[in-house]
Amino acid sequence: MSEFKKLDHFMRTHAPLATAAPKLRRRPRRLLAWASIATVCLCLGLFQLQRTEARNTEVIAAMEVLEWDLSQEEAYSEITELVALVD
Amino acid sequence: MLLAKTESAFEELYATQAGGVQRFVLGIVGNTSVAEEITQEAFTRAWKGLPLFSFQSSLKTWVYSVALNAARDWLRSHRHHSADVITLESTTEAPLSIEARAIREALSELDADTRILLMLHYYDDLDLGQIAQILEIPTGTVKSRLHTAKAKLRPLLERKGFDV
Repeated sequence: MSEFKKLDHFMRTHAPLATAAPKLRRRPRRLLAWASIATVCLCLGLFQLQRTEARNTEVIAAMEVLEWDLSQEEAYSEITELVALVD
Repeated sequence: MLLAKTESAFEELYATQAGGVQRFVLGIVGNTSVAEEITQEAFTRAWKGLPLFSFQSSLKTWVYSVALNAARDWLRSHRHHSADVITLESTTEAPLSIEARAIREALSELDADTRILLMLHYYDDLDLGQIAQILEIPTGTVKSRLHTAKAKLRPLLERKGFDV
């Protein structure tokens, strides 16, 4: 590479001036804001889903303990009512 | 808290690397507004791909790789724009020195691959290993291609009256 010593020196001295680092728009800040909002919404959604799931499981378990012999439709109706009461 | 930390790290990455990345992309596509769009796109991709980052390379190298791929995608979808023989636009209002203008013109006359290599080497001050990671080629290949690139650049500058 020594045969390009002069070229290297010339480039390293003057190349950085050939194009200055450009100014950038601040759009990524907006992008980050949207990404944050989306992440928070996703987390809230997942949390809510998990909560509902856990509550339904608890209700079904309680029904099993009580040995309720219900059809699927009746069980669904009972769960809905119980969930409404819990809420 | 984790999200805030990731955001802050990404903002820092953007603040420190965006200028260099945009200049690098500008060297590939030759148009400031397109380079700006591609840089934004590259950082968007980098942000989305952050969980996939394997820490086998530096963040800087990784962002440059993402930018290079984004620029290549743009070139592929805009085939009527020739990547070779472009006019490198100035991104500053400040007048350029004669030498800087000559370098810019000389780089403009080179093919895209040669220009990319020289810009990574001289403008972004990356070592051979980092360039190899970005271009996904062996270090030895970078070395030989760099030698060829310099051999192409020298006569262009000499023709402009510089003893290099």
